[in-house]
Amino acid sequence: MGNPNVGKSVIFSRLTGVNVITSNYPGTTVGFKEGTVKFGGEKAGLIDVPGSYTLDPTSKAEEVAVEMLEKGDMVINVVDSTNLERNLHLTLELLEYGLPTIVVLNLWDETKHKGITIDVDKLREHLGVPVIPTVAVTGEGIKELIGSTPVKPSQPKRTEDERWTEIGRIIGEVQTVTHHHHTALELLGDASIKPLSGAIIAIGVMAIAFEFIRLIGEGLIGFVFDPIFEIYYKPIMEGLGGVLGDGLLFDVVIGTLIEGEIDFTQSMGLLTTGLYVPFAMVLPYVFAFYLGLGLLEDSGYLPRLAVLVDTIMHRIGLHGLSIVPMFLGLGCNVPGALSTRVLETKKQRFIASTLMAVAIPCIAQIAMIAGLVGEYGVIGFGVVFLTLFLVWLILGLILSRVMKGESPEIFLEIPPYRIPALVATFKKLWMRIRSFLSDAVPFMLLGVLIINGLYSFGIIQFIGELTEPLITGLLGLPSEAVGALVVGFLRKDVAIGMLIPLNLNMNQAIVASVVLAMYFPCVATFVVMVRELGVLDMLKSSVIMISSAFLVGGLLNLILGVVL
Amino acid sequence: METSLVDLEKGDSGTITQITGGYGQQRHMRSLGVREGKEINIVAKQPIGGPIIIDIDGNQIAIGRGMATRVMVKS
Repeated sequence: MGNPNVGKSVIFSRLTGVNVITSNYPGTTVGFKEGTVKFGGEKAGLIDVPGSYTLDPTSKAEEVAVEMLEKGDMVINVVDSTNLERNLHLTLELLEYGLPTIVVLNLWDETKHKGITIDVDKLREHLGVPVIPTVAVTGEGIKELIGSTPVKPSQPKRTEDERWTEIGRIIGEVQTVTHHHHTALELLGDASIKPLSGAIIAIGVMAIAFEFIRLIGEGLIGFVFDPIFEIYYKPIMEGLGGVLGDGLLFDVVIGTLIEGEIDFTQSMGLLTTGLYVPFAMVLPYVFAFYLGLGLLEDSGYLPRLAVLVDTIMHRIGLHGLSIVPMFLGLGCNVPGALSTRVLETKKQRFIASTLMAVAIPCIAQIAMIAGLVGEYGVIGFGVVFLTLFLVWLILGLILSRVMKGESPEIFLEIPPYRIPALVATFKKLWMRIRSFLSDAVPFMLLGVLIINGLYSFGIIQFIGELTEPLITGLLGLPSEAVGALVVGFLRKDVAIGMLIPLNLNMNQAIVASVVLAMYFPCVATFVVMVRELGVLDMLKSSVIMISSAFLVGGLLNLILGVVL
Repeated sequence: METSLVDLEKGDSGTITQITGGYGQQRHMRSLGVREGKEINIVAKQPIGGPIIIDIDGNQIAIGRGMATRVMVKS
């Protein structure tokens, strides 16, 4: 246990060998993760918990931490050594709680840059438990940590005031701070949080991030995945097609031939489109996005951005830290929905997860939208995202006014900038890619299979006729587009892929992209949101999603019809 | 002179004398290091009612204006 952003997850990962996502901002860990560790020759279960400033939780993530403490037998209390005074508050609370404890002074290397000296032996005497300095990212001190044994503390119970007095006494004896000159990173840190220079830096960072993702994504598709599929994979599929002959099996595995040839985006076969969509259309952008996000997370830029956008966020009932769910949601809505736990009140969590589910398409979906409207250039893509942004803003303004409950202000620690440890950044990237491959790809294949089934039994055509007034009348889409809305419950990227063979015009492609993004979360996100919000609130959220999707889709159809 | 944190300007510094408001919020502020006797420095103030960034012991904290009105500072 320990304060947020002190490196608990890195320590956990070092001790257990279990990989967990780590970043440089408070609130990366919102749930718990278990692993085993050998302590003094004995095996023990170790639990990584979210950060907490006190044992008096102020957010859902902190509640998880306190719940875990009640189940534990021993505590490893991780402390930020550059921030000893504040961190000791939780340490004393834990020691008063009375479980056998080890205190870990992490980020030990940073004390030198900050001109801080800590007398470890004296601190150990004061606390009455082992105190071990570590640098978790490099592994320094981990051996000593494993070799030590937690000791049952004997601290008297204190009141809040007595605790702070005691901390003052300890700090006076063990810590000396000498003046140090501002480092370049600190100067950059100040510049990126001041109003004017901060805004300029933010726009620059976002523009670079966008170009970075686009270049890497397009590059991987154009130079790696497309050639692999076209040159090497296509002949194999053609051979396989010959063996299968005509019939149901051919239709399911290879799909429909377009002008006598396999077309990876249109054939809709399990081994053609079913593999081309995840690997050659989505994966390159997933890779590029998570590489960019990882660098932003690990450098410590996100909390600064949170402060800059706080004013807007406050208008929609949230505060700056809500950019974390929004950014994670851009990768995948599932971790996005989970990360709303860093927010303090139920109202904020409802607004943040609803807005994310409605207006933030995941990178897999964005990649496919780019494929669908890309041929119409910047305008198509721009209209889709401008619409989603306006929906996000207007819906947020409405929700923050009609919903009861409190919206506390931002109160956030800004961590120092850190140069990302590339090994850790790439490890995180690999974990995220692996979870995309193992969680998302099977769903995509299932989606393609279901499409084939629904079409061959005439179910799509039937639903299409049934919903014709809505789909064709209101949204101006061909009735076959209803198939995409059905499959969109499962995977939205596959759903957008289904629209490609329909040869939509620009207006239709824009309307379809927006409606698909908004109308409902995919099944994985839906399950997480039910768990996080509860059934009743998720029902409310769903009504908001469906009604706003068709309202906005209908309006967009009308407006585009007049303007373009 | 004693003023509230919200009335200080960028570059100003002072010592926190008193924190008011609800018990939970006071506790929350103190647990992040905002407490009586601490020297603070205003690093930046975001415009149009945005948060104030303060420096305490070399650590930066962003604090909303409403909360900032409840922190009294002697400069």
